[in-house]
Amino acid sequence: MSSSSSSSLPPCPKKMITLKSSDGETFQIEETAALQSKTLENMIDENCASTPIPLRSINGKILAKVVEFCNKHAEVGVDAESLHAWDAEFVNVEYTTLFDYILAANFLEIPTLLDLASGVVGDMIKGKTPDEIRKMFNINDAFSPEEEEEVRRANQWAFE
Amino acid sequence: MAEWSQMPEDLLRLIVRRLGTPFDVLRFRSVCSSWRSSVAPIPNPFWRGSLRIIPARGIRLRRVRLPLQAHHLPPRRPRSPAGGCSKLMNLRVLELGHEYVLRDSMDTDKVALLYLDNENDYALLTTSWYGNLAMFKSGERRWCSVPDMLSPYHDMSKGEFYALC
Repeated sequence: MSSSSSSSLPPCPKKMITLKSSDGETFQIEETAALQSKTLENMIDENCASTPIPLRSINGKILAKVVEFCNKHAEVGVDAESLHAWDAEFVNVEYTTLFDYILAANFLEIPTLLDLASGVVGDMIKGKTPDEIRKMFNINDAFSPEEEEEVRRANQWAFE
Repeated sequence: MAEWSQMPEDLLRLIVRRLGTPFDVLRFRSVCSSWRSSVAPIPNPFWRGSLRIIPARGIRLRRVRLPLQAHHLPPRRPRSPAGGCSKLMNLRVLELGHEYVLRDSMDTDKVALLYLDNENDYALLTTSWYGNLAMFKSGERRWCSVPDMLSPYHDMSKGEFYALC
C-alpha cells in the first residue's frame, strides 16, 4: 500500500497486528486475516494485540507461511476449487515442515490449517507398513523388546 | 528437528482420524510406543458369518486370507535405466476390502468385502463374473458388471485385490 499522502480520500485504514517469531522476526498481518486464528482472535478481543505478539514456539520460516495461509484464507472472492488447489500446494512440503505446521496451527488454533496439515499426513500414512512409516518420519525409538513382543501378541488376530 | 514420536496425543489423533481402515490404525499403533498409546486399540474388525446376498438364500462368506498380506508390496525390483516396473513402488496402494469366499451349492468364488460409509451397507467385488469385474451393492441387491475397465482381471499376488492409483 502506498504511504504517500494525497488529497484524494485515503483508503479505509486496515487494522494491522504484529507477530514476532521465536527467532525475532516480525510479521504484519491484517486483523481480518489474523481472525483465522482463535488464539489471535482472543487477544484482539481482549485488546492485547496492540503490541507485537511474541510467538515463542514458532520460528520465522514457519510463521511467514502461517501468515501467508491466513491471508489467503481471508481473501474474498476465491472460489472453493482454486483455494483447494492452493491448499494442496501449500502442504506439498517436507515432512518436517508439515510437523511444524501442525504444531503452529494447534498453538494458534487455526482449524483449517490444522485439518489440512494433519489430513495430508494421514493420507501419506494410509496403506504403509509400520517400517515404511518409521522411515518416512525418521522414528528410531520404536519399541523396547518387551513392547515389541506385546505388540506382536496384540496384533495376533491380524495374523491368525 | 521434527520429533514425530513426540507429537502430542491429541494431534496424533487428528492424523488417525484420516486413516480409513482398521488396518491402517493397527499399523499406526505399531509404529512406536507413543503413537501406540495415543490411540485406543481397535476391536477385531473381521466379520464372520453370512450375509443375505440373494433374498432367498444366504450365501456364506468365509474369510480366507490375511488382510495384512494385502499390503505387502511386491519385492523391489532392480531399477532399470528407464524406470520401468520399479515405478510400482511409487504407487499408493489402497485397501479395497478384505477377501472372502463366496459359496453356494454350485461354486466357490473369491470376493472382496468392503463396508460402505453407512456401516449396514456393504459392497462385494469379484473378478469371477464371466471374466469381468462385478460389484454387488447391498442396497441394490443385485450384481452388476463394472463397465469401462480393462479386461481381463487378475488377482494380483496370490489372489488379493489391489487398487492402484
